[in-house]
Order: sequence, then C-alpha cells, then structure tokens
Amino acid sequence: MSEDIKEPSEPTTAPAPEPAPDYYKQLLLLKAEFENYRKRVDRDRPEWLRLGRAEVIAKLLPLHDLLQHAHDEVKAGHADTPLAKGLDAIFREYEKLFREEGVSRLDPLSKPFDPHYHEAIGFVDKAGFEEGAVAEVLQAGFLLGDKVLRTAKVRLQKKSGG
Amino acid sequence: MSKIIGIDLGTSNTAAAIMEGGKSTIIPSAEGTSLGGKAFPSYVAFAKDGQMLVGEPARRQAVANPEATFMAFKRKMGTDFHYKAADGKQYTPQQLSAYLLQKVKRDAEAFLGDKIEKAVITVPAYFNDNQRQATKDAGTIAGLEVVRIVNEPTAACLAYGIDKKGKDEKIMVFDLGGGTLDVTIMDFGGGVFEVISTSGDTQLGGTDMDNVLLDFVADEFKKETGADVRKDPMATQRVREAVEKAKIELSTTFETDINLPYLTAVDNAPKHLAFKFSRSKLESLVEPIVQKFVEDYVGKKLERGIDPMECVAAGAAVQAAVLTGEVKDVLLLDVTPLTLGIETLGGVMTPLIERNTTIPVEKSQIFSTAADNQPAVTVLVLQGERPKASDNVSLGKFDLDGIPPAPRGTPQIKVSFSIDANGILNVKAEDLGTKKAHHITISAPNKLDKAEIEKFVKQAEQFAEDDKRFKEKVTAKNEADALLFSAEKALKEHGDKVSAEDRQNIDRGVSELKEALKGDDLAAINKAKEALMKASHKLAEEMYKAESAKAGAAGAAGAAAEGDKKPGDGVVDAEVVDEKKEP
Repeated sequence: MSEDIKEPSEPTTAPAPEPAPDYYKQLLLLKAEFENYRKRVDRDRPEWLRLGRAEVIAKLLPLHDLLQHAHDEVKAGHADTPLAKGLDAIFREYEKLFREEGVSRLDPLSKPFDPHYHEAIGFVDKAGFEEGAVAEVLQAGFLLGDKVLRTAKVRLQKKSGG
Repeated sequence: MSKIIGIDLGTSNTAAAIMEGGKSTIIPSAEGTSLGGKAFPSYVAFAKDGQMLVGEPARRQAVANPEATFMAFKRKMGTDFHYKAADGKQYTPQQLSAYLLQKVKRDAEAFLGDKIEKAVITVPAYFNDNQRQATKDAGTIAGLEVVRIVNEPTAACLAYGIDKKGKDEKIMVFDLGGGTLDVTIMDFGGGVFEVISTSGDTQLGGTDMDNVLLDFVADEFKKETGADVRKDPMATQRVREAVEKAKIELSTTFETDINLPYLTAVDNAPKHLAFKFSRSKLESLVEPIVQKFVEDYVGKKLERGIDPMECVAAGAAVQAAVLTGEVKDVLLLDVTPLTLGIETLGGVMTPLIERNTTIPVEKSQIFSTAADNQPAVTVLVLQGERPKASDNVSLGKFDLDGIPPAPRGTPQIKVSFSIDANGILNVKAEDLGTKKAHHITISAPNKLDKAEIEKFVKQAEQFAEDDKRFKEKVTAKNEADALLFSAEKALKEHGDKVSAEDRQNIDRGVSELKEALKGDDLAAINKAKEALMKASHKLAEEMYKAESAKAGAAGAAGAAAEGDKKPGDGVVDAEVVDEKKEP
C-alpha cells in the first residue's frame, strides 16, 4: 500500500518555468489565518495565565494532602499540644491562600456521582448512603474557579445488601 | 476553504491536530485544558441517566459503570462485533469511534472558532481494507468527510518532515505506545511512502513496564512493612505515578528517590515509603532505555524531538495540509540563508537583511556621502556573516551618480533591498533629493548549496575574534576621521575666536591624528583622538561664548565627539547615517 505525497514530477529535458503561484490568494488566506490566530491568542491569553497558576497549585496539592495526613495523625493523638495548634494555624493559612487564588474544595460525599468532577475508584458498602452515591472520598478534589483542578477520587455505595 | 483536521484515532488515546501557518497545532480536549492532558481517552460510556459520555469523563466513571463503558473498540474495527449496553442497545465499533470523532470535531471547532468538515484519519499499517473502510465509515457517521486514510508510520514520517529531505531512504518507525508496540519498515522514494513490512506486539506497551516496576516496589514495601499497597487503590495509584516518574528520571540519572509518606496504614499506624531506585535495578526489571536499545540495535541515530503522543496526529495534519495545497504554498515562504548588505566606509559590511529572515521581505536604510561634493556612491551588494566586506561574497555592484555638490553627510541616499517569494533580490539606490535612482536585480542569491551556507556561517564563528578587532579598528578610524573633519572645519570657520596658542594646539592635534591614522596602531589612534578632542573643546567653549545662539557650530563639535561623521580617506563610498541622530 502506498500514499502519494506529492505528484511525481515529469521528466523534462529543459526546466520549464513554473507557473506563478497566486500570491494574492495566498496573502488573503494567510492574513485570514493570522487574524483568526490573533483572535484566539487574545481570547486564550487569560486562560494561559490561569493554566500557569493551575499547574503550580496542582503540584502543591499532593503536598497539601500529605500535610493533611500528618495533621490528622497529630489531632488523633495529641490534639492539645502546641504542635497540633501550630498545624491548625497552618491549615487556616492554607484555606486563606486557596480562597485568594480562587481554589475551592469539592465536597462530593453522599452526593450523586458526576464523572465531570469525580473519578470512580471502586465501590464500598457503608450505611446511610444511596446506591451509586459517593460514599467515601479517597482523595479530595479541587476547583479553580469553575474548572476542575483535580478530580475527587471516590468510592461509590454498593447496591444495598450486594 | 475550510480546514482539514488530522486525527490519530488510537486504541487508548485519540489526538487531533491542524496546520496553522505551516506548523501543526495539537487540539486540546475541552476537559484536558485543565492540566496538560491534551489527548482524548478513547472511551465512550452511557450513564444510567441516558447521558452519553465521551473521552475523559467516560474514563473517570469506567470502574463504576463497566457494563456500559466501552474502550479499545479500535481492536474490533472492521469486524461484525457488536457492543451491548446494559439497556440492550447495540453499538458497532464504527458507531463508538464516530462518537469519539464527534467529540474531537466539536472540541476542535470550539478551539478554532471555525467549522470542521473534513478529516485525515490514521490507521495502523497492518489494517486491511475492511478495517480502513470501517474507519472511513466512522468519520462519515461523525459528520466528517474522510479525505484520506493514512498509515500511522507514514504520518510519523511526515511529522518529522522525512519527505522533505529530498532523498530516498529506508525508514524504521518504532512506535511504543501505552498498550501496543508497532514496528514498521518503510521505503521512501519519489515522494511516496511504501510499507515494506510491519510487525509488533498488540499486548506490550509502556503500561506493562510500569506494572512490573509497580509490583517490584509494592513487594519491597510489603517485605518491609507487611502492608500490600495493591489492596488500596489510592496507594496503588500513588506508587504507579511515582514509578512512572522514576522511570523517566532514570533515563538521564543513575539513581532517584521515591518518597511516599503516609502511603498506607497498618493498624492505624501510618506507613511511609522511602526507596532508592537505581538505573541498574531498573534495567534488570525492564528495558527502560528503549531509545538507546533501538539505536544500538539498528546502529543509527534516532530522529526525535516531537512528542510521541502528538506525532501521528501532527503528521495527519501535514497530510491534510498537503491535500488542501496549503503546505506547498506555505513552503514557498523560504528564508534567506545568509545576511545581505552593502559595503560602507572603511570596507565594512553593513547588513540590511539578516540571515534567517522570512521572505518575501523589503528593507531600506538611508545612507549618505563620505566626502564633500562627492558626485557618486557605489553600492556593492554583499552576502555573508563577516563584518569585513571583502570576506563576504560580492553579488553585484552599481553606481548612483549625479549627486549634486553638497557637504558630506548631507545627501540622503535610500538603499532598498527587496527579495520576492522566488528569492530574487532587487537592490535600489535613490537620491531622495533629486529622485534619481538606480537598481540591480540579482536572481537567486540563495542558490548556495547547504554545505556552502554551513561553511560561511562556520567561518563567521571561527573568525569572530578577528572580526571583532577589525570592526573596532574601522570604527575607531572612522570616528577619528569624523573628528578631524569637524575640527578642521571649526578651526577654519571659528579659529579667530581663540588664542594663537589654542590654534596651535588644535593644529598639532590634527597633524598627530593624521599621522596616527596612517598606521594601524589602535592605541596610538585613540590617544591622538583624545588629545585632539581635548584641544578642540577650548574652541567649542569659545564658540559657545561668542555665538551661544548658533546651534550649528556646537552641533558640529558635538557630532565630532560622538564620532558620527567621517571624512573621506580616498574611498568614495556610501556611509551609514545613524537615523536616530540629527546630522
């Protein structure tokens, strides 16, 4: 099987002058293309800035998760210690930073599963949840503005008794 | 004329691209814009509420809705297999592919702000006629006219511009995807790619390598802590991401750390994973340095540089542009391989069009005479990267005469270089005062072969130090010339305003500088220049005192200090007039 990429040139003894390309048409096409490109660039510029911020914030989220683990551990055993209080303060600062940057946390627990915001990891059987609803959040999800920064990784409620 | 989109309809991921101004642009999926992921996962699902999900959202709910989530349907293309959804509805592989193509079309239209009606779609080289027809049908169902079906390895070659190299050759395309390996040997000749042989493994890909690494790390972790991360889906995912990253890092380093604190818990006690991974360990588990392996095996350097995830789609876009005639047109926009300019005072090459400028282009600059009452200027057209005119290639020369008698630097000679799309250079010199003009046409100044161009550029780099010294010397000499000219002029016109002693000082300075200029000693020239400048300052001061209102004389002294004007030293030539400064 083969595909023609270019028309093979005819063998000629003397090089024939090439017909003049239609430069005016090319100019119009290129100009139109450039105009459209410019419009898109203008339209997308704020989006790029947002994406740049999103990239950095998204990279910080796993660290935030880990600190959260540490926080939970400290709260469980040593809630009244200065360490726990210090961590409380750190998380209040985190919340402030998130608010300033337009980052909000998804709160899917017991809500219907929505693949536009959540990623299903599996099923779980827990009391008090409707079948197919989010019964466990394994990893928190975040929005930046109204766009998904990270989906929430969730487990769904099994069929009752199943 | 509407655009034709290029689509890589893959088993696990689909990608699309379009040509813009001669370069391919990957179309991001609507969801993918959030973070990096531009591809469309090849998933189609029907949610319980009847909603159809395509791409990323379909993948996210695959675990929760396995009976109505379809993937890898490319493997069934061209067969009479039917996918059955939970509600009893049946779907052909063409239909499912069509839903995916529809989504690609929709996202592309949103991205480009333009309708898309035609597509070039790629298929594996081993696809038979049935499978190709089915792919075409999928496009039709999606509302796309499939103007061409292209082999994936051919598209990869097009993305790398192998057809543009102008030589016939044999090519091996090594396509290691997430789940499959395709190796194709192709023959390129007379503008046509032909598949000689294709083989591979439909069940081996990068994912398998990651699985081996994941198992190894999980086993080690279990030995150490007793916890099996494979039972914890979130922990598994974290380990998978970490080993994937480590695998990439170990392609360039010999050792890397995997750190996963709070990976899992045993009896409510958190377990942290900290693991040193070496390249030798990695090599004992999988063959990670795939590129090196392939290079060693075939004994040739690989073409690289294009993201393998985007390569095939980019090549399909190239083919699409060939079909619209766009590529042929755009490629006419060539670049000048070497700098073009003219010779100016002191044997200097003054560039007008720098190398790598896209043509067609037109540039002009105003020059002037180098001596009083100079009747003509010679325009010597040069090509090359060296500052010394004689080190470059002379393309042609002409005189513009009939310049009316005027002080040096007064006439304005506009020299224009224009190169049309065919690479033909037209050089024109026009006396803006008399409107008298002369021009020369140099056909195909670019017709140097690649080796010659390389040689010129190399030479320029090699002689950079010499060239710098030459330029310094010429600049110093030109500045000294200009100083002499203005000092003598000022002395003639205003000499009576200073004492005899001051006049003598200036005279001595002038003769010393003239003497220094006969030689090539840069330090001596600069020293004599300083001395004359100092002596002339006295004259300038007196001139200011006497005729503070006359700006002309002060201007002459000022210009001399800046070194803008150069008197002729026997060379009748054009001189650069810095347009920013008033003469």
